[in-house]
Amino acid sequence: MFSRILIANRGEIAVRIIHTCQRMGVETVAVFSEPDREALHVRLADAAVCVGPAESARSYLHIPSIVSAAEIANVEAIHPGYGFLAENAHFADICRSLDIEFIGPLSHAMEAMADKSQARAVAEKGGVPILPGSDGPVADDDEAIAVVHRIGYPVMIKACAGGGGRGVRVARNDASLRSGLVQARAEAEAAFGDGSIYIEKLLDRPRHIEVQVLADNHGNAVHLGERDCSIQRRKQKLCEESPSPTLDGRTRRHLCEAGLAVASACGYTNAGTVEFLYQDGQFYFLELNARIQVEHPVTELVTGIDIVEEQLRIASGEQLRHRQRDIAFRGHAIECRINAEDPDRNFAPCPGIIRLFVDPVGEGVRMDSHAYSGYVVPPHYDSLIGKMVAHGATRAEAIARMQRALAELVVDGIKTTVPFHRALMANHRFTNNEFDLNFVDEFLGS
Amino acid sequence: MSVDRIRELLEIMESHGLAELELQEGEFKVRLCKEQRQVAGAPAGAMAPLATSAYGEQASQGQAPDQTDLESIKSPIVGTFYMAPAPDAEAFVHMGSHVTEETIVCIVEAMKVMNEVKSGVCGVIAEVLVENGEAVEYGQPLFLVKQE
Repeated sequence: MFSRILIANRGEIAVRIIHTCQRMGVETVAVFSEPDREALHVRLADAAVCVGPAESARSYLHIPSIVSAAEIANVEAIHPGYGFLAENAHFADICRSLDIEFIGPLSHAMEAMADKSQARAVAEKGGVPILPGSDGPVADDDEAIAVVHRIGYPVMIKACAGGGGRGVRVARNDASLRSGLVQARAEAEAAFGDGSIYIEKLLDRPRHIEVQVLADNHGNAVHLGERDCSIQRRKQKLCEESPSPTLDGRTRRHLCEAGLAVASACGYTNAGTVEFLYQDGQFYFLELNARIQVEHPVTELVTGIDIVEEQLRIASGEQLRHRQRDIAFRGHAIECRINAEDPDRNFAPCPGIIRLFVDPVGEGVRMDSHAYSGYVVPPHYDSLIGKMVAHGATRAEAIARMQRALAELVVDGIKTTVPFHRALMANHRFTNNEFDLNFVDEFLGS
Repeated sequence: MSVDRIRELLEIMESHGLAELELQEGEFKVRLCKEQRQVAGAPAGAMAPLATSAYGEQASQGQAPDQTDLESIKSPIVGTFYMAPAPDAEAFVHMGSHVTEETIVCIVEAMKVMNEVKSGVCGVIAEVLVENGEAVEYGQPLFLVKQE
């Protein structure tokens, strides 16, 4: 096991990783940008290094600064968290070339799945269903039209270098396809430095269901069940749960096996998530996320497995300690992402000082947050200030605990999405499992 | 003016983070002043010491003395500080050296890249705050310069 690691991240995930390291006796080194000097992850770590100014490009994303900090702090490994450099194969290579382990998959697996159109081909080769669509990137508009006429409208135009719902456009006819192609290429070029796009059939009422996988460097792999992340606003997840209330046992088994098949097909190791769309009893591979995900706590509460611990163990060369048949799934867990945003003003970000922060306590409630009374939420980074997670023996019990916890949570001084989540937990379509990816937009529209 | 009214005003001060509030209502005038307390929580401090590394002391070293003509030269990058361009070469500067904005005062090495650090200020080196080969972080004061 590593004796000291650096966490190349900030916010709640940096705190979360430090917590597991402290339990395991692994020393931690935090990095921070100047506005994050008073951040919780800095206070908790054994050592902390300022790596740059506010702009992520010059601090959290700045590879020479992160690697330099790792060198002077003499760490054995780097945990990249999620976002930032977590799926940067070049960064992983640099770390490993300097004998610093990157806690994540090998870069060839990352690269194989980073191009979203190529990832489809990998899944298909692994025997996993994919949505009808183009065979890789479309070379020009004529090819796009040919693909669309083969698979039928409506379709999604997606950036090959995108992912996470970014750089996606919908086209319902030839006119919107042509204009969509132009815009999508331009956006993809601007956002990812790569204008290539591919096309996929659009499902009209899908659920987003993903499978958590763990694979070691010795050929062993397990799944930790699935998560339903259909509660999304503008392709951003707001609320996730495990298990998915919509799957029957047989479909769940097939889905989880498909997740393992995709991971195996690309030589994936460490923790990863295989995302699917599910509609009318059929699931289709979407993408593989080569990192720990924001919503991993719901899986942890249902399985009792600490995914960060597993990541550290796998990265340090250990064999997986769990066989598939040892993994038990107990009860139901739900996570609500608490963002510093004003739901009454179109979810506008609300940075500022949190005058009073009180997180809920008690049975079945877990709050992953970096907030504290007096903390200043900076404007430079994403707006997630905490993840409220509730567990219960049943979905109804988890919802009841979440309602209690949301009512107890105090975040004074800034606006948050708590009122949205309280309304969501009370909404009959949510509680009766009558929702899909379109639900939040319909729910907010009313 | 009732006590309840004053309590209301105190709540308004608290919830809006006010230090002082003065209000006239009819014949009554009240002025409420909050005593400014220093926040007790100290920052963790850059580079708290690890068991095997002593670079925690630097957090307290970079304090500029109470002289307004002293300017600090800060590290532009995290890395290792070197006084000279090569191990057996002359140091770029030392105490008493005259510097202009363009004078190279040291090197901070990051990932095998030797970043030359320019003074940025005009004056005389009053103090060298770090030692050769020490780890430094972004923004850490390296030199104090008495400005001319």
